[in-house]
Amino acid sequence: MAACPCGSHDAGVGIEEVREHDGLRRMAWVVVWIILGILALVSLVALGHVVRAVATRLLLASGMFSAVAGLVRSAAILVLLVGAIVLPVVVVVRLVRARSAPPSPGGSGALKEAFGPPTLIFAALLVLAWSAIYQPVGPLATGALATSSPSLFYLGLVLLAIGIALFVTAPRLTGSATAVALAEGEQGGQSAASQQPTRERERRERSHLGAFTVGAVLIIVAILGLLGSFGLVNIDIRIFPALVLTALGAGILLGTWVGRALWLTILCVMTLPFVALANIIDLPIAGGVGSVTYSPHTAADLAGSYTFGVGRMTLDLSALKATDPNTTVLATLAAGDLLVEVPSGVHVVIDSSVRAGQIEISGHHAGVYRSGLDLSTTSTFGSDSPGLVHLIVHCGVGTIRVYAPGTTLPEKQSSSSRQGPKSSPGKGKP
Amino acid sequence: MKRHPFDPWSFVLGLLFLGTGVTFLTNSVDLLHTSAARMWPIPLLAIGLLIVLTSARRVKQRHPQSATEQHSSADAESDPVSSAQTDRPA
Repeated sequence: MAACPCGSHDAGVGIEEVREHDGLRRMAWVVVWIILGILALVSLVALGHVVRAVATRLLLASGMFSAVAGLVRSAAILVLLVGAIVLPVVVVVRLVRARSAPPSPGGSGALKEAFGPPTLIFAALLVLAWSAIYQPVGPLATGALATSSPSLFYLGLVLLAIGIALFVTAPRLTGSATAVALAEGEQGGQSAASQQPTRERERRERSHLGAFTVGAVLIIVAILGLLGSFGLVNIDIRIFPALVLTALGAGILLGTWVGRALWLTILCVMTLPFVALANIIDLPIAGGVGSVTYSPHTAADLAGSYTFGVGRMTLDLSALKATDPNTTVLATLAAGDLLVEVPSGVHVVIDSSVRAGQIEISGHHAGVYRSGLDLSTTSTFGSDSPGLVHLIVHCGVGTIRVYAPGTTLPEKQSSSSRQGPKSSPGKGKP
Repeated sequence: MKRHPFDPWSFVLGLLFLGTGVTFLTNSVDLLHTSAARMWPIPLLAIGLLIVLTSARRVKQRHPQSATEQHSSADAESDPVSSAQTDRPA
């Protein structure tokens, strides 16, 4: 016979006693979860401040601060989208499942089913996203940190790790009562108590359809990625989210007749924001990921077009002198921040357009700030100056920031002493 | 993997996600230029399909039980006769 952790069970224990014991155990676990959650939140907020201080100093020292902050913000927005959609879906689905499932002796109630570890994970994701977007105030809120908070991102990661740990350990913790009931049934011949968990165990027999589907998705994506990387086929990375969604949907559909893979619904819902994002981005994601700066000094340095994939692209034209009339420059970024510093003493016309995001033009009259979908605006600088640079700036998803003469890029403001060699000085990608 | 009775949830959700995936895969929709007013029938269709299929499944589950019961009772009644007939020497 399996020994109960409380030590109160013996071979002759009755079904009613087992049920009463399980009810008390369930209530105790709810209280423990609440207390542990509060303690975890309080201690992790404190830990987050320590991590923020350490991480900020390390990143500033390594010079990777601006790039990481941008990526953190992008990731946080995505996670927020995913979490905001997934959390209510998970709660509703689990509530429905808990209500439809027959009660088990050691089983889980509707409340625990609905607000179990997976829900905690997604709640942690929401906390993570919210905290990463949160703009901190205080001595550390400088430069790019003011737009995102790496430390709170790490706090969210810790919460996420705890959620996963709970998810992994929960079956062992909550399943003990069922094991006790099973053992009682085997030993004592309690038919009513034993048949119920046995039926439930049979009913919950694991299906491998979900694993097969996930494996198939990975294989498909990997093969296409390999073919694309070797140049055998021209694969646009934007098709992958839709491809994954299609394959997962096919897996779920197959579960209509064979196996069960309804949990893939969670993956599908998580994929949806990426599908939407890929649909909104109207540029091929090519040219690189991370951060890049172009700073042409003369008209000869000025390339016809500058293209980048995902991250931060800076077009520093501040050193540019007067150019030939009617010079047209195209700058495109698939997703991220596109920063342009306009030169002084040169006639510049900028046509900015964003599919989804923001356009900020500082120092231009009263400044321009627009946010939303399908944005476009035209700005003119130095109309009484010689030369004309027609700059066409387009961003798929993200922000375009134009710094008029008299305002400078944030990198220059925060780290004027660290202006060393830039990643691509003088030359843009033709 | 064993074959099991028709699962309406898997059918509706699978169809929904598969359809969404194929739609975006073929690039036949532009989210920014698609109004929500044109999309309202899709969730309605999914919910309706789910209700219909779930109800149909329940009906199907009830009827075979009663049919099986009828068959078993009929067999119980007919079997002794048939067995007696077969046991009867020619």
